[in-house]
Formats: sequence, C-alpha cells, structure tokens
Amino acid sequence: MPLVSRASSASTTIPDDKIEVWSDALYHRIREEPQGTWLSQEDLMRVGIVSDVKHLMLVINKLYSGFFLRARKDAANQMQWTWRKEEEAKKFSLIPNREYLSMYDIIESAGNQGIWARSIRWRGNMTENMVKQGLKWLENKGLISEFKSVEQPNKKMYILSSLRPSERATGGPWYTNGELDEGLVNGMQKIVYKCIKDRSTYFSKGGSSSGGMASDQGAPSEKKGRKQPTKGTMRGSPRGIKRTAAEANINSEKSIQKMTIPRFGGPRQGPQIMGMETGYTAYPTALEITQFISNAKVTEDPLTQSDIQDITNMLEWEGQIEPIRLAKGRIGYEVTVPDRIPATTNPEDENDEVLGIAQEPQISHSAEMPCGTCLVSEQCEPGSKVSPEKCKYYADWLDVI
Amino acid sequence: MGSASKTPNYQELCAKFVRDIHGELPSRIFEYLCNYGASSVERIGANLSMSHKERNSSIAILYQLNLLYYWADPDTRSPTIYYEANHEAAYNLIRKGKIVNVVAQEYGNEAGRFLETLATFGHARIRDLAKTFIREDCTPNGGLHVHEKSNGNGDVLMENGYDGDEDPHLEEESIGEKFNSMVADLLCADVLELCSINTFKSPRKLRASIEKQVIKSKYNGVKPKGSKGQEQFLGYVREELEEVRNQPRVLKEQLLRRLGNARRDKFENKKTKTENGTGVTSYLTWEEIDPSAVVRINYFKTNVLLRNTALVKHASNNLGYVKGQVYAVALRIMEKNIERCHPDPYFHMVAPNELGKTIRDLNLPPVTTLEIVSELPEDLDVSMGIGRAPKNMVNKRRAERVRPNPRKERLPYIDKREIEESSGEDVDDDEYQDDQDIDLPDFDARGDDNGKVNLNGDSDVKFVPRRVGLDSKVYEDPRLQNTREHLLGLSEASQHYIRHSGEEEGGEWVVDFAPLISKIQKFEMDLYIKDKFSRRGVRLVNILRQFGKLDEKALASKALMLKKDVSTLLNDMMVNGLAEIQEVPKDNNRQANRTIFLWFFDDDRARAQLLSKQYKIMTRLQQVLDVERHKNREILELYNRSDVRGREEEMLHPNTIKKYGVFQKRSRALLTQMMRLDEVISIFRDY
Repeated sequence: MPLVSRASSASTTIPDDKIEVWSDALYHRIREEPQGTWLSQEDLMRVGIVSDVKHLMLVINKLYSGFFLRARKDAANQMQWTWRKEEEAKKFSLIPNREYLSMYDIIESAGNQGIWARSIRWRGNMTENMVKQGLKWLENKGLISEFKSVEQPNKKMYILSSLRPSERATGGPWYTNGELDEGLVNGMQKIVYKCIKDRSTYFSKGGSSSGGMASDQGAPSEKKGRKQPTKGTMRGSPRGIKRTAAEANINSEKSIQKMTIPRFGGPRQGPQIMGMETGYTAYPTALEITQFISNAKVTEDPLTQSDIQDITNMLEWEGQIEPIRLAKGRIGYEVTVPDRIPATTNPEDENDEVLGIAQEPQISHSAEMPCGTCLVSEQCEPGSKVSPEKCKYYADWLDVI
Repeated sequence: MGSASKTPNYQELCAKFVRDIHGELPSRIFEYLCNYGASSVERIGANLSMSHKERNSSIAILYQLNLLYYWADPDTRSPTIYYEANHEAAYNLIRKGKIVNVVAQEYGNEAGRFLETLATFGHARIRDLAKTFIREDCTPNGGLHVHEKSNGNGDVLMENGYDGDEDPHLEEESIGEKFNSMVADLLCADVLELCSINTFKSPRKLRASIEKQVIKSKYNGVKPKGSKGQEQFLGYVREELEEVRNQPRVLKEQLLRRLGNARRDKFENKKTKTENGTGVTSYLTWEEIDPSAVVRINYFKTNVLLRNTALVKHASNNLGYVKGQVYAVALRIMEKNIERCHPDPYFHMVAPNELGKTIRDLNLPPVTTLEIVSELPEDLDVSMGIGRAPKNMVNKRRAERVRPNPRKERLPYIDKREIEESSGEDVDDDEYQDDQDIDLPDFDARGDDNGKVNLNGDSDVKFVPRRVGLDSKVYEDPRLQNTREHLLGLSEASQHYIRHSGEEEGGEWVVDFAPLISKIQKFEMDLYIKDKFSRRGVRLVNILRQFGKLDEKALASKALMLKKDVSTLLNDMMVNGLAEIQEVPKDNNRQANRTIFLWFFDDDRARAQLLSKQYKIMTRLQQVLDVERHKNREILELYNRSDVRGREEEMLHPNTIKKYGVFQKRSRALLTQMMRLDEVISIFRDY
C-alpha cells in the first residue's frame, strides 16, 4: 500500500524500538474498541499515543505488516483500520505468499456470509488456477472451509474455519448442510398441530354424557413402527411431551361441561372434536408453543419463537389452523374445522393420522371423479379419440360405485 | 351472472340439459341461439332446415319454459321478433329437484309438489294449475288432505296424509281453500312471481329501450350531457326500472294489503304448520286470489333458499349440528327480506349514495334472539354443543362485543399493523383493539346501564351482559342464554357466519352475505386445490394470496419446501389454470437467465377456470349418462311399454331386471355427482 511505502522512507529518523513501543501501546488501546469498529486516521491520532502524523504512519505500517490491523477505504476514499486478534494475526503469518494472503484476506472480509470462489478470483484479480491452488492450500491448513449456502446452493462458498456461517446462509434450523430437512419440518408440523389442537378443542364422546378435552386422556402412547422423520435432529417422540401447567389446568375434568350430541340425531352421532366456547382466551400463542416445544426438548438445538412462527405460518397457509387475536395484541391459534377430524372413541387409540394431520373426509366433488383427475380431459370430446363414449375411467368408476 | 360464465362449455351444458329434458328439436334451436345470438324465426327455420310446424312447436316449448327471451322493437310497425337463449333458465332445469326439496322443507310437501308441477309447465294460470293439482290430489292417497280443520286455537295442520284413516272424499271447496292458501303463502314468500308483459322480453333490450324511452320523453331525443344531467337522467331511468322490477310482485302486494292485519299480529294469529314442524310460519288464511293471474317460479328467490341451505350445511360442518340448526332458524327469519342473492344486472340500479354496494350489503333488518328462540324446534336441545371452559379462560366481554358495522375488508398484500402504525388510526378495529378488555372495566362507552364488572385481579372478570328491552326473567331463561351462546359462536367463528349488531331483545343479529360467501368460495377453492395438488398446493396458493407475486426461491423459503417440489407443483397448477407466471426481463435481451419469473394466483381467474371446468365435467357426465342409456336402450324400451309398466317382475326375465337395476344404480351415481357439482357451481356463481 502506498501509505506503507511512504512511511518507510520516514523511518530513518525514528528508532525502531520506539516504534515498537508505540505500536504495542496503540494496539492495546484500540483493542478496547469492539471488534470490527473501523477507525480513521483522525480517530487513531485522537487516541493520543502518537502525536505526529508521520510517526502514526510508521506505527500503522508496523502493525499492518504484522497482520494486527485490517485496512479498507471508506466511501470518501479515506483509509480506515480495524484491529485483528493476535491468534488471527498468527495465522496470517503462516501463509507463504502474497496471493494466498490476499485470498485469505478477502475470505476474512466476507465474514460469516462467506464468499463464492469466483468472487475471490474477481476481487483478487487472479487466475483461476491460482485461486484453485490457493483455496486448496488454505483448506488443507485448516484456515478456511467450504460450505453450502441455502441462497446459492450451486455455488462453492468459503468461510474462515473459525466462523460459523450466518443463519441467512445456512437457512436456520430447518436446513441441514444447506439442504431443507423435510423430515424435521414435517415432524415439527405435526407436533405443533397437535399442541394447538389439544389446547383449542375439546373431545366429545357423542351419545354418552362424558366428555373432556381432546388431550384429556393424556399424551398418546408410542406405537411400534411409528415413523420417525428420516432426517433431522428429532429426538424422542410425542410420548415425552409434557403439558404445561396452563394446559393441565384446562384439562381438569371438573372444569369442562359434559357434552353430548343431540339425541334426535345430528349429522354426526359419533365422538368428535369440537371448538371451545366463545370468548375463550387460552388459545396457544407462538410463544407458548415455543416454550412447550423447548420444555419437551423435541430438538437438540433450541428453536426460537420465529422458528415456531415459520411452522404456524405454514399450518395457517395450509388452512389447518387459524389465528385468533387475543388480548394485548397476542395472536393465538385454533385448529380449523375440528369436527371433521375423525376422532376415535378412546383418544388413547388415536392413530398417527389423528395425532398429526388427519386425512379429512371432506373432499372436493370435482376432484373425486374421473374427469377431475383425468390427464387427457382437455382432449376429451364426443367422437374423438378420447371421448366420453370410450372412457375407461368412467366404466371403472361406475363399477366401483 | 356475468358474461364471463357464458363460455362455450357452459353453453354446451345448457343445450345438453334442454336436449335431455325437452328433446332434440327445441335443443337444436336453443343451441343455435347460443351460438349465433338473437335471431328471427325465419332465420332459425332456414338455418336449421326445420319445417314450420317443427320450428313453431319447438319455439312454443322453449317459450313456455322461458328458455328464450323475445324482443320486438316497439318503435317499428309490424316488427320482426327476435329470440335469444336464456341460459339461466336452462341451467335451472337441473336444479328443479333441489328447489322442490328445499321448498317442500320450508313450506310443506304440498308446496313442493305444486312447485314441481309448475316447473313442468314453466308458467301457467293459477286456475289451470289448481285444476291440474286438485285433480291429481283427489285420490285416496293424494296429498292435499285437511288433517285437522280449524279447531279452537285456529291451528291448521297441513300434512301429506298417508295414514289411511282419512276420509278420501274431501270437499272440493276446502281443498280449493287450502290450495289458495298455499299459493298465497308462496306468493308472499316471493317463491312465486306474477308473469307480466315484460317477463319474457329480453332484459338487455328492455333496459336499453327504457333508457331510449326516457331520452325521448324527457329530453326530446337528445341524451343529456354533463354530470348533473347524467345524474338526473339516471334518476328517471331508476324510477322506470324500479317499476319494471316491481311488476312481478303486484299480486303479492295486493295479497299483503288484504292480509296486512293477519301478518302484523303474527304471533297471535292463525298459524299454518307444515309437517316437518321446523317452525315455518305462515300467517295467511284463505283469500281469494285472482285465478286468471299467470305465475311462475322465481328462481332468484329459490336461490336464496338454496343459499341458506348451503350456509347451514357449512356451519354445521364447521361448528356442529346445534349451531347449524340455530343458524338455519336465523336465516329463515331473515330470508323474508331478501329478494335475491345478487342485484339484477339490468334492472337494479343503485342510487348514487349506495354506489359500490351490492344488494347484499344493503341494510337488512336484524333478527333478534327472542325471535330465533320462539322459532326454534322444540326438540332441539340448545344446551348441547357449547364447549365450556374454566371461567378464568373465558373473556365474556370479548365474546359479547357488539359490532354495529360490518367488519372491514382486509387489504391484500399489506400487513395491517403497518398501516395502523403509519396512519395512527385503527384500521381493523375489531381485530386489534378488541382485547384490552380484561384490564378495562369501562365497557360502557356504549351507554350501558346494567353491565357490571368486578375486577378481582387480571384473570377473574365477571361480566354481566346488557339486557336491553328485556326483563331479567326472560333474559335468564337458559334456552335464550344458550341460543345466544350459539349465535355468539357463529359470529366468532373465522367465517363470521353472523354479526352481533345490537342488544335489543336479547341480541340483534345480521348476516353480511358478501364477505361470508367469499370466504366459503375460498374454502371451496382450497378444498379443490388440496384434493388435486395436496396440502402443499394450498400452502403455496395462500402464500401467493398473502404476498402477491413471488419468485420460486422466495416461495420455497417461505413455504419450507424444496425448490424442485415448488416448481413441479406450480407448473402443474399452471397447466390447470390456477397459478400464473409473469416474466420480468432484467434487460433488453429477453434471455431466460436474465429474466425474473414471478408466480401469482388470481382468485377470480382461478374461479372462472374452475367453473368452466365444472361445466365441462357436467357435460361429460350427461354424455356418459347418454351412453349408458344407449347401451341399455332395449331394456329401457321394455320398461317403457305400457303393458309392462307396473308388472315388471312377472313379465320380464330376471336378468333383464338385474341389468335394469345396474343401469339405475349407475344413472343415479351420475346424477348425484351432477348435483354435487351444481353445489360447487352455485357457491362460486350464484350465492
């Protein structure tokens, strides 16, 4: 850098040991600033170690060549510096040549976002081969590591080994090695849905006069052959889920009015799960669900409220739950159309389907018949190759019905 | 019904119905009119190569059933008469059974059968109808039996007498009386309407001619210019249109005038109960009706009845049977004041201060809890279906909230909180300011006299609701309280089936039909997408509904789905006309890698697509039914022989009977499917 070369010409008048002392002093003073704070020449002068600009140049040059400082130019083309940890500086000193050094510097400046291999080439103005060799060398020495970014899954990204890729790059807890962990997402979806269902509905046995909450009979037992997500960090099963105090309170049998289905016969005589009375305020909020999930220790890494919000959003978009506005801007959730979810007489016998997202009996009329699902329906005309007269699907459908 | 629904598929379907019910010749004319628009008799005859006789009798059939409109220019001497197809009437042919059912449920089986007869005729004189109907019914097991003549309380039960104890020889006079009473009932309920001189005229041309007439009579043939002149002109037109709209109800108004007092004292006066006993009220005794009046079914009103049935079904599915029943009663009381589901596109002109509103949003008088309780079937146990929770988890004040105005529509793509923050005013008042409640004892901004709140800490708030217009004894009646609870449940549900609009007489309730129907439409659309493209499809569509246009990457990250799954699904949906794509090139070179592809979902377009598809499916079902009939034509011919009819088992071979059974089963399956599709079509188009 020009600054460094000019400074070296002035070094003749100042003894080296003095520079050494000043450098040490300055480095220790600026380390009081948080890491990553960029300081201008004026800021460094203000520190008060060096009073002459020329001497300051020498000091900076000393620190920079020892890799204790990082430099950059600000928007007004003025130089700025920030300090680097000693152990980081040591790593720099291991690097044998200038090209690798500048590559390492570029990767460091990318921070926890990481940088694409090709961007390193453009920024360092190097040949592809050189970059390839440099990256290989740095990787072998354990200075940098490759990772996959969720945003650019096809690009080779590099980051300092000492850093963890940012959440934006890794995609948060739903991604493992840059790939969406669908098993985890689906598993969490079921758990969150169950949690909301238990707290926003009650179980009606129908016909008999006994009743209670959907979860009244306790958490369902684990079954043999229960499917676990194929990937992900799911630990344990819903068996281990403990209900919170609030939930336990709702479940006390005395507090729930006993419920029966009208004797003269409604459309559903059997047991069903129904919504709560009006003005109910104990619908679970995202925060409560998060607490519940974290108490139950469902995942290895704790999930934040915004992670759970991702899941509730997803359920909401799928039309399985609905937001309900509660007091003080809180938003609770309730399950939609609860009575369509087939419930069994004994909630302990609930199968996976009921536990999680049930296959609703409600279906769209146009999708349940041959024309609704026919792939060649566009070409179907009377008298043509595909026609109602020759339709095999209808023949089968009518036979089954 | 908008012009968008008159797609080729729809026209084909209508023509198919006409063919199926009224035969080849009328359907050919109907089809021709669908394809070529308004045509004169000569042109129809010439183009379809029909003889005069065939042509005229076919047109007469179509005219009788109002399957076509006519138009003759009144300003021309000896004008040519043009005919055009009436698609709505053709489509209604398939709904006949449903309409008969719903009317039978509400007004008794007799009314249902009467409507069936009338539907077969299209339109007819009351005198002729009476003759046909009474003759049919004077059989021992016929329907119009006077089960119990006016007794001390004046109660008359109308029942389909199958108990055999009845005297088969009934006095014709009393039957006539019953018949007239039933017709009067139906007329007052708007299910029947009077045919006027304008009934069969093309509404489009009629409207144009009214406007022309106004220009001629009020402005000497020069159309007024300027906004003021235009406004005045529209005012005149509105008056004229109002008159045309009221013509079919002249007879009803005459009747109501005569029976005014009877209707006013409805709780004390004579009641006619129908056999289903669900509290259909009709307060009309026998009155002379003009026997020469020509009546027909008012399909717009029957659509209102069908809409009520659909809403009740939806509410029952969502919230349970009891709430559904309470809702049914509320809707039934309300329906008296609802003329039709949508405003008439030709004859309903809203006043300038009502612009932007539809007839559905115009003020309907609310129903009160007391009215509902008095009409509830007695054997309905309203204490059922309420999921009681511990008191400290229930916020009564929130539940009892009165909303005098309809809920505001949400703006798409915008987070309400953002607006609230930026404008500083409450955008969605009911949603966000609702719930300071627990801490606020002053729920009396609305001038409450009786409500009291005891604050014992944050959690235990006792709420005593207002009792406007009721003494406490009536109010504390558990039946009224439970009914209120059900009504509040209906209003709190996310669909907002009903709105708690006031506190008089135990609570006033109104239904905001437009937003409710659009929610049900969205539900049906989601259901279709779910069945066809899985829940993930619904997820994507709802994300697009909320955020507008998004590219695949953003969609995948929001939906927590793999990008390749997202593109497969979206492509599938695009092929089916649901999702759509917009290309935004980054530069002038329209290369694919320099272009952003944004996905979006347009509800209206998707709905039009879906409807058109449904029409096509219905046509195919009808065609498959034809194929089945053709396959079994020999058996059907056998069954139609007059010597076989009634003695099938002795005359036919068991195999033939078995085959006929299979055919019947199949045709029933096809027709049932058509009926189900019609339900979806109604939700998307008619309600």
